[in-house]
Amino acid sequence: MSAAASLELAEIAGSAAPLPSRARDTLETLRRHVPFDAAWLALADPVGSSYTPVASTDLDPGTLGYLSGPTTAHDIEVTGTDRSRPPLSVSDLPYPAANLRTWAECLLPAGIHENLSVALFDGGGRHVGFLALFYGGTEPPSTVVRRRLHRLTRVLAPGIDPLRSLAAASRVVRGATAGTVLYRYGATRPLPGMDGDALLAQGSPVIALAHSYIDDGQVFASFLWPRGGRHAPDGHVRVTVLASPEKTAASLLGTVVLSPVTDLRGLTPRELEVLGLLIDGCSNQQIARALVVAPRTVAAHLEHILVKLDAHSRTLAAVRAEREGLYVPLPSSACRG
Amino acid sequence: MAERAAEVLHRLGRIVPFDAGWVALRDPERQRHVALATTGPAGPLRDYFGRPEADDEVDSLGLNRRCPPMLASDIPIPLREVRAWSDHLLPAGFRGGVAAGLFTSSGRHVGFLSLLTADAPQPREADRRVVATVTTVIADELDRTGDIAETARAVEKADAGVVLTRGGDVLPLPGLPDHRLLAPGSPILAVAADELAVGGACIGFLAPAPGAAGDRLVRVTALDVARPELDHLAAAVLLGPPGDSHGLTVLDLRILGLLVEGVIDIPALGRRLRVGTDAVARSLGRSLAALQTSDLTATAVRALRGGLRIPPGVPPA
Repeated sequence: MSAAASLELAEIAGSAAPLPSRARDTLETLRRHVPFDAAWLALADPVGSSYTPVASTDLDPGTLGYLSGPTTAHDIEVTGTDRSRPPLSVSDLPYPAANLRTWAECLLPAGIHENLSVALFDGGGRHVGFLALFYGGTEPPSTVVRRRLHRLTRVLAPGIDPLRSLAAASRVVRGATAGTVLYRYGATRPLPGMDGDALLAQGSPVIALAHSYIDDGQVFASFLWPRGGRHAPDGHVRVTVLASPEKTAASLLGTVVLSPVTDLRGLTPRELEVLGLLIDGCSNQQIARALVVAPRTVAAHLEHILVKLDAHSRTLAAVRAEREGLYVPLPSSACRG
Repeated sequence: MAERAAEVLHRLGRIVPFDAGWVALRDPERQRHVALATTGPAGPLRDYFGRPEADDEVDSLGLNRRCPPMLASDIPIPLREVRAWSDHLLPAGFRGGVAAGLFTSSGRHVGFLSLLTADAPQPREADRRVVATVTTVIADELDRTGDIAETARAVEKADAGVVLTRGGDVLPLPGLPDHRLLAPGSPILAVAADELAVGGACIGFLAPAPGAAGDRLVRVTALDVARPELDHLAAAVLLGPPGDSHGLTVLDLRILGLLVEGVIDIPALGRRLRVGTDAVARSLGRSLAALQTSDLTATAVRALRGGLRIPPGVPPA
């Protein structure tokens, strides 16, 4: 029975359905194998210590609202149910349920007296989410039910893992060498299956830019970044920003992936800087000021740029460069809107 | 992909006896096979499939059609009259084998499987039946449109979508319906393919929704999924809701589309869209305000980034 349940749950996890419907199917299937009166399935926020619900059954809106709040997150931490361990029931605790605010203020008044709670981890030990099964009766869950849930825990995480589709999206970047997952407030975490890079560390200008693109509502952005300093002594690397399509996990913004640059059209690092400012909408005067050079030097650079991009106007040069991913954003650009 | 194919051969090795194995993808547009994984002394197969006549011969043996796997002993003519055998396999010491076209559960021909033995009585009828039961599973596993669909879903919430091949053919994208705007030869597919060809892994633009009066639009998103070293699948093209068009009209979006193509002269824009220069100037004013830009270059870049444009190749609804 347990093997059949594992298989059914693995099939849901591998299905093409969007995350919320996978989460709903997960609870429905689980219920046929591990009975419960109500259930709450939530994603762990790797940045803050909060939970975002993705599916629930038989819980009223008031209870749902309470469970998503900071008190429940705190109680999950206090009881150690955010760690990898067998399912825990409130009756396992050495003190009465009412000593926990979630129980005293929310669950007991809602007629819930027993539960089984378990943290969900992926194969690499990343905390993905949290599952709580609730019971109206006062009888603690049986050993059989506990064991059955314990055995199924490992197949639950992949079904609700929001990073799965992000990892799939990052496959659109050919030859990716490094990647990271971007969360609200610029926090980053490793992208499963990808190496990290100093450019993708928390607080780096690349991460700040990626954040601003996603905030602007862009689903896809690609630009170049100089390695080893502003004048690109170590060449350029391509940065691709992909916004997360799943709005289920509130703090999850998207991914940032690095890949090698294939063709710079023979543009020099200086010309790429001028081009970047042109794409930002700077006038020649503004470019000259930003790069601390004479306006006629800018004009000469632009002439070379137009030839190398085979463009008859500044606008076409800018569009062509943007299309080909030749945009080098200057952190100090005064013209970027 | 190569890992999956190697795993397939490894698993087959436990249930069917063979000395050399070969799993390849077939590119029907270039009529060639690309090996994904081999085991044992597969050099002669590699040499054979490197020859231009290989696909023709495989086709004439009926292996590009959906049919039961074929044992070497099923071939109705002597093996020395089949070039694969006379020029490559017999000289290398192979005497028996089983071959099968790999067809997905949806019926798409994705590749070719060949298992060879030095011992003529093998593989036998029973082995053919075993291979027959697994070819669809293998084909599904090697079908790249499944991976493409997952990538597409992760990038855009789409209502319809297709896979576009290098030759302009259209294949279904698993899990998404097709759409008449995405039929083979449609202008939207042509624009998407042309734009991906000039660079970028992902492009987006707007198009008038078919049959709709007024300004109803759809968003077109195209992803470059080409792996030319593997097969002919080139792009995923998706249709979805238009999103926020910042109050811009169809005329504004068409002018932005031309701007992105490098048409920046107001009279030229007016001529292309058959409107007066005043109307163009007013439209550009609206676009600059909507996109919060102060010059045409920045406006064109913003329109390109946000997909807020109707390219000139997209016809009216």
